[in-house]
Parts: sequence; structure tokens; C-alpha cells
Amino acid sequence: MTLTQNKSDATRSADEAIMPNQLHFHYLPDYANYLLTKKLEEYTRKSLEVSREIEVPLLKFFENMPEEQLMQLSVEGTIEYLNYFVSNRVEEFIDLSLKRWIENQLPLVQSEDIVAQDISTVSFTRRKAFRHFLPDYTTDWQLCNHILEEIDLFILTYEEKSYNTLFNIKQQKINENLYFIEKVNNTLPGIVYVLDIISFKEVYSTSKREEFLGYTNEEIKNLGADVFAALVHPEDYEQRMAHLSNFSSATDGEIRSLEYRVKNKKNGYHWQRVYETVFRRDEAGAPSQIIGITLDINKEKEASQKLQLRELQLSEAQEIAGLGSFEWDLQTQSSLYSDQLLKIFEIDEAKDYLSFLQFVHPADRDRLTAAINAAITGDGRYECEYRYKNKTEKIIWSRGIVTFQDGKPIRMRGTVMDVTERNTILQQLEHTVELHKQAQALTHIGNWSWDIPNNQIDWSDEMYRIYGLEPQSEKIHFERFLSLVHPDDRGRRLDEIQNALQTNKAEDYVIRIVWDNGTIRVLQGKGEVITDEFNKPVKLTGTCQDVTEQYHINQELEQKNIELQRSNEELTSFNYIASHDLQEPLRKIKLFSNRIFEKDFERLSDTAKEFLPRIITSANQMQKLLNDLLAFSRATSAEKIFEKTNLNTLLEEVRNTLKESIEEKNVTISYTKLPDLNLISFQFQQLLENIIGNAIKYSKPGVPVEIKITSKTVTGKNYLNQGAVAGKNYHLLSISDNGIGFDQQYAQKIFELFQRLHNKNEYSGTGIGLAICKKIIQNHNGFITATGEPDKGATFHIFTPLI
Amino acid sequence: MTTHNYQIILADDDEDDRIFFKEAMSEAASSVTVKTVSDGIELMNMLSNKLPDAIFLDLNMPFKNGQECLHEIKNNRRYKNIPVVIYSTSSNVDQINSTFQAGANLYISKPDSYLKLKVILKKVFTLKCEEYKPQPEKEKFVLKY
Repeated sequence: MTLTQNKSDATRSADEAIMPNQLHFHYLPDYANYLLTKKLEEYTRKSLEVSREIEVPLLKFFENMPEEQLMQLSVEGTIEYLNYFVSNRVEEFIDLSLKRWIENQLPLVQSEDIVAQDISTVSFTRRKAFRHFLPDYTTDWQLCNHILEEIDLFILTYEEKSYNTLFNIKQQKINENLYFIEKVNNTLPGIVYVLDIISFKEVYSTSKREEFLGYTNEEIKNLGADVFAALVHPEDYEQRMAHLSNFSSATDGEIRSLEYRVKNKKNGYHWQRVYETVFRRDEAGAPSQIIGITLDINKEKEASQKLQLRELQLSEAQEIAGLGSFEWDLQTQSSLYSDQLLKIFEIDEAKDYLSFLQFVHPADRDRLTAAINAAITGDGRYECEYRYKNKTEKIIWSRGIVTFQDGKPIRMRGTVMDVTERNTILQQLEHTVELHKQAQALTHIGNWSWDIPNNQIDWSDEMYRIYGLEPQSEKIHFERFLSLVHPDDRGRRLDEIQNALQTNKAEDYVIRIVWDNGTIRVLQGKGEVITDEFNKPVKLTGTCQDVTEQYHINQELEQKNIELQRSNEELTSFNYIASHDLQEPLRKIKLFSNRIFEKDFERLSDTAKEFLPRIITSANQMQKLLNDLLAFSRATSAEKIFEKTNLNTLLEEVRNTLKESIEEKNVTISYTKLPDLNLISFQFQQLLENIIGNAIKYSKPGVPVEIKITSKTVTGKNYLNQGAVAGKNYHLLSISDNGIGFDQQYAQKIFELFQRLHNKNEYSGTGIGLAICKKIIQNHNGFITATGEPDKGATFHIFTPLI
Repeated sequence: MTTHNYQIILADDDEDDRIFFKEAMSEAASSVTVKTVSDGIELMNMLSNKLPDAIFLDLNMPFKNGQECLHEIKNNRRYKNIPVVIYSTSSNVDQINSTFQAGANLYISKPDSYLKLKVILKKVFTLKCEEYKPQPEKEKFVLKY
């Protein structure tokens, strides 16, 4: 509105600028004076007459005015009008009348009622009225001409200004309308649009669409007729198109609506509902454009879908729970009920109370009625369990709440549940619980459950006994539990629990507890964290057992193990030191006796000559013994480092070590290509050295020694009684000789420490060599056996496990 | 080792062994002068006076054992080039390995006869310099009769 006024101001000032004081008339004022004084009534009448003749539209507003009054009004107007001319203030008159128009001060006429025709007809009337009386005023042709020119000028100015004003007023009206539409559009929850249903192009749409769909109007326009294919959900597309084409049959004012999904640029399809009506028709009268409003009903849809789902879930839940619900109007005795209720009662439709009561067990009827009456007349709560039989016997558990209004019971809402099965289960459960209790008492396993939010701990009877308490003698909460834990274990157990609650994973635990009488017991338990749907721990449950005795036994065992290990270590170091330190004086004995033997033998007495070699032999024997002991001790204590070892290479080394005796006794060792094994190399070499050494040592005098070595893979199950593990494969290395052999009854004994089968004088053994072999093969998790026959030879079987 | 004006030190706590060693040495290589000490501390003190041409080192000694002496010698810039011959009762593999690793040049187990001792000492002094310096191969580390 302001805009319009400004514009009008601008127009006015522009006019003044173009023709300043143009309307300063020289001849008209006098003519006007003539009309005013001489022809006032005639002039007024003439004007009215002309107005009616050419049907000035404004006149219709004065139709109901009596002629006399109209005439009087007209005369007043004429006086004012002509006076302006007399005083040569015509421009002022024009402005004033326009001002009245704009500001709506015209009698009977609203400013917006004035139309263009009013302006042209009024001009025409004024011009005609002026001219009509001119011949009466003067016959001077020239004067006449001047006056006519001045009238024309007046009319021109008047029309121009009037039209400008008219346009301004119309413009203002349009702007007001636009503003209104804009406001309406912005407040509308949807988009208003006009759609050409012949070309399927959108003609108009409110700007809200972008926030609605994410697409700008430009983008929509660019899509053209493809807009539907592009934006409407494929499943709804056909329906939408059919809906649009059906508009050809629509009548004016008929509103049609449709729900379908439209793609939102940001987040997929949204449900929307459109209301559409015919907007334009073509020449033939068929609808060509429709106007519509579309609303986003996604939330509505979701809500209704959710509601549907809820209803479904509820009914499912009721079905699963065997739960039926009812609403009983206590005034009308009518009732609403769920399907499940009918199923439970095995009836097709709701019955009145008395016929329903017929199905209730006679012994329970009075109790049921009493319960209902008590609820209605009392606190409104009803609960009853009763036997019911229609087709099958059932136990029904029913609960309800009565609604009161002004102290009067209105209705009862409630549920019924078939608890027949539950009662059976409950009985079984009670039985199971009893069994469980007995089992706990027997096994001394208790179970506990800590309800974290409520800080309440449930203990089974056995738990109380474990803690030295009378079963269920007190309520346990976390602090009470902690107070029972041994002070030294409290902090650790607290940390463990906190850790369990943080990780939702409870580890097995061992704690000491203190009974009221001071007895300390050791408990071992398992726990489990129970979480809610947000993965937040709500419960910690577990089982627990008194393991004090086992604990002490274990501790003792551990202590024994430590002692054993220590004594083993001591033994080993004793072995080592003894062997080592014994070597020293022995070496001296040998050194000195050898010195005598080498330097002064000839000077010795005969006895000394006989005894000295015996001293030397004994010393040698002892040294050998000590070396073997050392080797045995090393076989026990040395680090067990397994490495891939080639048996052929190992045998070559052994052959090298035993070179002298091999040459001396004419030994042939035959073997084929042997495999690589995972062995403690130097120990296995020692083992081979001992066995081959024995084969050479215990050979038959004068017979060339033949040693055969063979190799194969065997399965453990065939050697179980020798020490094999079933399901494991072993590598078997057999070493046989043609020596003196042994009686098979000694096959085990030869591997024992210090066991000898021969006199020292015959064969120089220490009785340690094979014990070392056994030790070594034990280090390899294998085993060694021997078969022998006197005077024929011996075979040693060495088994090493294959991975 | 050349024997010309050779000065060696034997560190051994066993008096018998010291006597035997000196005697055998005088017969095996007469031009070698043998000084003896009876423990590791004495040995290290003697080293600070004058450097010998070689050290024969027993391992099992009181106060400061042979292993410690070996370690000190081989980690001292002044001493580390002196050849060290381990002279021990033990022929224990671990001991052989650890002394080899610590940089000893040769290893002799004390023989049980005077003759053998003479033989082995002779053998030591006929070795060429490059056969024991800075260290022989592992197989040639232990000297046998």
C-alpha cells in the first residue's frame, strides 16, 4: 500500500515537472463564472442528463437516491467544481478529487469501485456539458476556440491523472492480492501448483517446494513432462498417471485426492497426499489444467504404520502370552474384547455374565463373583484365579481395574490368561528348584545374582552355607558381600568386578572369605554379565564353590613342586660339581702315577711294579665313570633346543668320534639315506655314540663288527605298551649288531642307571651309557627299546615322535 | 709361537700343576721363561708391570677366576693382543664355548700324564702366529695331543 502511494506521489510530481502551471486558464474562469451564476441548474441537469445518456457506471451507486436529492448533491458538486475554475485553481481541484478517490472519501462510492469507464465517461460528460452552454455565452468564434482549447487541456490533464490514479489503485490491489497469496502459500502445509494435464507440464508452483522436495523449481521445470517418471515412486507411478488422466471427467469444484510417494532429493521417498481440482478448461470445455495442493504425510503414514504394527504386535504378544483383554461397561453390561479372549474362553462371541458363569467351575463361582463385587464396591482392583471348562479344562487367571466416575463404577478393564500350562510348569519348576537345592547342597555349588541398579544380591541357600551363614537369614547387598571378603582380597575383587562391568565379561575368580567365627575359606567362582538392550550391565550372576581343601592341596602340591624342582637343581649341580671336582684329585693321581711310571718305573720294587699299573687302570676307570656321570647330568639339565637335524650327517660325526675303535675292531656300519628329524642335535649324537660305541664294545672277540641301521615311520598305536601315544606317528631308527647280545629278560634293566650285565674285567662299562640314552630319548618325548639274543646280537629301537 | 726369549705367565691355583707345568716347559721349550701366579688378582697385578708374550690361564681359581680375567684382558686395549691359552681340567663343552666367545686363543685340557703335557706344550710353541691370532677357527680352538 505504501508502495502504491509512493508511486502515486512520484507520478504527481512528474506531472508538475512536465507542465508547471499549465492549467492556468485565461478564458475558462470567466466562462465558469457565467455558468455558475447564470446556468447553474441547467448546467447541472445537462451534466446528469449526459451522464445517464452515456451510462456513466458510477451512476448505479446513486440509483436509489431520490431525484431531488441527487440533483441537490449534483448542484453542490457543480458549485465546488465551477468555483475552482473561477478561481483558476483547476489543478488543485483535480488533485483534490483524486485525493478523495484514493483516500476513499467519495460519497457512496468506494475507491475501488471506480473503473476506467468512469473516467472516460465523466470526461465525456464534462466536456459535453461545458460545450453545450458555450453558444449561449459567446458568439465570438475566437473566444469560443480558446475556451474549447482550454477545456481540452483540462480534460487531458484530468484523464491522465485519473488513469494514473486508477492504475495505482489497481496495482495496489494486485499487490495486496499477491501478498495475500504469498502469505497463504507460506502458511499452507503443502505446495500449491497448477498442472497442465494435456502436456503434463507444471504451470505454476509455490516456492515452498524446494524445502519440501529438495528440488528447485528450475530443476522441476527442466524435467518437463518426465517429472512424474523421475520423481514418483515406481510402484505408484501408474496410479498417479491414471489419476491425472481421469480428470477429463471431473466436474468443476470436484476435489479429488490421492496418496503416493515422491522422491525427496535428500532422503528418499516421502508419502504425500494431493487434493486437486479443475483449474481451466479448453474451448471444448474439457479440463486442461488442474490446481492442487500437496501435503507431506510421511509422518502420518509412519505413525499409522507404527500403530498398525503395534496393534499387530500387541495381538501377537497377547496370543503368545495367551493373554486376552476385555473392557466391560458396567452400566450397559456390554463389553469389548480381544480375539484372544474368545479363544481362551473357547466361545464365538461375548456372553453375558450369567451365561459365562456357567462355564466356571461350580466351586469357584462364588469366589469369582465375590472378587468382582469387591473390586466394584471397593478399591477397584480385581484379581482371581478360577477353573473354567467349556471344551477343555483350564485354569484362568484374570485381573482388572475398575474406573469410577463420581463414585460410580463405570467400566472394568482387564486381562484374562490361560495359566493351565504355567501352573503345571510352576509345579515342575518348584520340583526342579528343590532338586537344584539338593544338588547344590551335595556339590556345594552356590549361585548368586547381583541386581546392580537395585543393589540387591540373591543367594541360593548353598551360598549362605558357603559363607557360613544360615540360609536366607539376611538380605545381602553389595557392601555386606564385600565385608565378608578377606580384607586382602577385597581390592582385587572390586577391581575384577569393575572390570567385568566395563567389558561386560566376567572372568573366573578366586577369593578368600572370612566367616563370622574367623575361619578363612577359599572360594572359586564363575560370573556372567547380563546387559539390557542398551548393552548396559544390569546384572552380574554366577556360581561359586568352596575350594578351600583343594586350594590347600594345590598349594601343598605347588610347594612340593617347588621343592622338587629345587632338589632336582641341587642334585644336578651336585652331580656336576662332584663329577667336576672329583676329576681334579683323580687327575693328580693319574698324573703322579704316570710320572712315576714314565720316569722311575725301572727303579721300583717288584710289588710296586705290579701295583702301579693297577692304580693307573683304576684311576682311568674312575675317570670314565665320572665323565659318564657328567654326561648323564648334562642330559638331564641341559637346555632342550630342537633343530632340524640330518641323521646321516649326525652318523658321520659319530663315526668320526669313534674313528680309532672303528678301525681297531674292523667295524662296518651300513645305513641308507636317512631323514631329517627335529632333534636336540648334540644329545642325539651322544645317544648314537653310546649305542654304536656299545655295539663295538660288546662285540664278539675276533669277529668283525657289523652294525646295520634302518629307518622307517610307524604309527603309535602299535607300540602303546612301550610308551607310544595313540594317534601319533613315530620315526623308528633301529640299530642292530652282531655282538654278544643279551638275554631278553634284561631288555628293560639295561636302561637303568648303574645296571651292568657283565663283569668289569670282561667289558669296561660304567652302567651309565644306556641310562643316558634313555634320558635323551625322553627329552625328545620318544622312547627306546632293545631286543637281544645272547651270542647273536642286539637291536636298539629308537622312537622319536613326528610332528 | 717362537720361543726366543719368550716370557709367559701361568695363572693356576694348583701348586702341583704349576710345578709340573714349569718342569714340562723347561724340557719342551727351554728358552721360555715361565712366571707363575696363583690367582686372578695376582695375574692382573703382574700384567700392569710388564706385558708377557702369552698367558696360560686356569679357569677355576679363587678370588678372581679365569673367566673374569679373560674378560678383563680381552676388553683392555693394552692387553687384548696378548694370546691367552686356557689351561683347564675341564673339557666341558659349555666352558669351551664361552671362553671361545670371550676371545681366548687356545684351549688345552690339562693332560693326565707328564709326557702328554710335554707333547702338547711343544705343539703350542710350534704353532704359527696366524694359527691362533687373533683367534683360530672353532675346530682348531681346542688343542689335542
